[in-house]
Amino acid sequence: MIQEFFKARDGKSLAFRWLPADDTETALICMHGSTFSSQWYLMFGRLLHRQGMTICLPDWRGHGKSEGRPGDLDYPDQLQDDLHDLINHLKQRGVRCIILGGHSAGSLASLRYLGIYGTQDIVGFFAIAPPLTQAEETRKYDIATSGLEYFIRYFRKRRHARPMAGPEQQNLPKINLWKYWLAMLFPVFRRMAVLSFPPVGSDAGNQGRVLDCSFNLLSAYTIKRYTDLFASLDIPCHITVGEHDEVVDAHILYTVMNWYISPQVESCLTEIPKATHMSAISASAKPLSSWLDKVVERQLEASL
Amino acid sequence: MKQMVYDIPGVESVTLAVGAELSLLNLYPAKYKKSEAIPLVDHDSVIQRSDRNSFHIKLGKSFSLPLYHFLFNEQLYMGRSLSSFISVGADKVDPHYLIELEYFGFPTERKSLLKNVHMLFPGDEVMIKAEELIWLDETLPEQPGLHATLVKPQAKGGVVYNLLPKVAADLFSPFDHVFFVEISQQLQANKDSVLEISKDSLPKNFGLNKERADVFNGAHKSNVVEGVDLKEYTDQINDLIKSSWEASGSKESVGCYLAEQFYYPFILFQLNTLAAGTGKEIRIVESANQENSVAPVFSLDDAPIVNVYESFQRVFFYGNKWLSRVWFFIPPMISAKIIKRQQRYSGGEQHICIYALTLDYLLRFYPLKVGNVIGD
Repeated sequence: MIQEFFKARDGKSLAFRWLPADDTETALICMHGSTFSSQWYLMFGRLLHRQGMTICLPDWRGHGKSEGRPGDLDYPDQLQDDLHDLINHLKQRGVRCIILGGHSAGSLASLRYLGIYGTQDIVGFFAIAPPLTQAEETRKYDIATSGLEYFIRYFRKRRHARPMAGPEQQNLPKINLWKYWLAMLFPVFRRMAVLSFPPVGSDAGNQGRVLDCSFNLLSAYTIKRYTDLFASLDIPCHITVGEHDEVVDAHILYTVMNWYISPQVESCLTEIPKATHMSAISASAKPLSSWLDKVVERQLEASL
Repeated sequence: MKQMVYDIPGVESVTLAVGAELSLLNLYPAKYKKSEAIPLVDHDSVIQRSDRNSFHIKLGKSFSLPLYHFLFNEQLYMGRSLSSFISVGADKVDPHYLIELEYFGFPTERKSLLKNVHMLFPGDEVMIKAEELIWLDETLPEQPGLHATLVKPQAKGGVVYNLLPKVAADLFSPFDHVFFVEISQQLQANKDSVLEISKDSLPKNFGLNKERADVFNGAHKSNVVEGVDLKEYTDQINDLIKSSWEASGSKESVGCYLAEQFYYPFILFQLNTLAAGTGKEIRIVESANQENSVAPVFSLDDAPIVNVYESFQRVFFYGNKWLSRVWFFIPPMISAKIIKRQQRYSGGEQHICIYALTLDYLLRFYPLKVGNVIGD
């Protein structure tokens, strides 16, 4: 495993961990989730690397060993621009095909990347526990403004309730709605922290995490029109989610995939028994591994 | 120009000498012939070349496989899958089919979703002037679809809701009733090669009436759709049906006549399309050991992602461009009103919602041309 750096378009030095296999023409890029860095994804990377896949684990700008203001971006699509710069950097090093994806917010950032830059040179997309929490109907739990949001959208009083149950509530981020709306209305406030994640477990476990998130960074992995983004996928995709995921429900993803991914695209959904939002990372390595084999094989056939 | 179609995979010219006859079953792949009943109708359903420029197609009364034909450029295209015709130029949506499906619940004149592609029903006999016969296999790439491994079972509403897109793709037509999904489930679950369905269990909302028309009038932004005046056109079709009923001697009520002549044959054709894909056959029987009154699958209290009402509204916010621009542009207040109206009409079913969602799905994922959408 090698810690490497590349220069982004604004001159900042951004980090990525590189696990090269025998074949470095095809590489898997896994974007980490919010607050974390590539360090938390080494186990996942190593499991897939052992199967012969070249792995690239980037650190978001301001996270891990990458330069930048922690928890912030200069503009909402900067994360996707950084990813594009990384892909160009890898291409210069001989990588020809990329399998792109990520965990949690990282998977949404990758999906947004595909929406902005398209799927050229990307041969597969994977998402581990993608939290579709922006749209009212795809949330697992209600938030404070759910009722109002529902009424505006459907002109009907909300009849269902999705209360938060159990201790998982304490691990979920809290949004300051006043700051969020202020930032949405006045761009000058968009670098202000609007979302904060609570520390979980021991101090040592939280070391290196970036717990506050600005409006710009939140926008980089916010997906409002998930229908359009999923419908625009034209490469094979695999989504995994833990049975006990605290943020997303497998059935919601199943419905989204049934309705919004083209029937011409080969898509898979794997619900991992007993896994949670975080334990799904390493547990996803096995189902993703067999899927990757097929994707790479098809790519080889296509190139021949 | 004529030769170009042969470059498309799945397109096959059928050589038929003048005077020669070909059993239509020979054109179907093996998986369509699994039903034990089908060999009996082998000799009933034939295509014959009567002279250099004409083909006679005759289907036996028990020919239960889907069959479409399309005449273009003096070539007669035939195929079992409607979506196959897109690649040979039949890529325009027929607005008349959609209007008839909305206001009557069935199309007349064997129309299909694709303009100029016609269904052939059991018992049909047609003569078509064409120089060449071309059989279409699957011309679109194979649809890999979604493979899912779910730990927890889904609720019934979720299962049905998630099957709507697949059934719409299989039928290659929008539909307005969960009945087709339920039959699709039964076909998968049934081990026998023949599935019997009670006549009483067929959907009953069909024919032009004020309640049904009001539901769909409310959904249209304009009275003129694709250059077709909705009222004028539906009146014209209604007159056509009535004169056909009168010509039949008016022995039975209009409702019964509509059901026997138009509605049941269309529903049976759709059901046969679903059954053929699984190598099975469906028979409509006067009575069967089935429950006829089943509670509606969807309700207003369903989980939001599988709530058909909400999906109906949601789909026009995120929006199919064509539907949201012209056909069904429905802000929340209007769509909430339409939903209430259709509930009164359909007694708990969700005709307009299911119809619009399945149509939207087909338009989003298939390369269809929807014609002159602004109607000028």
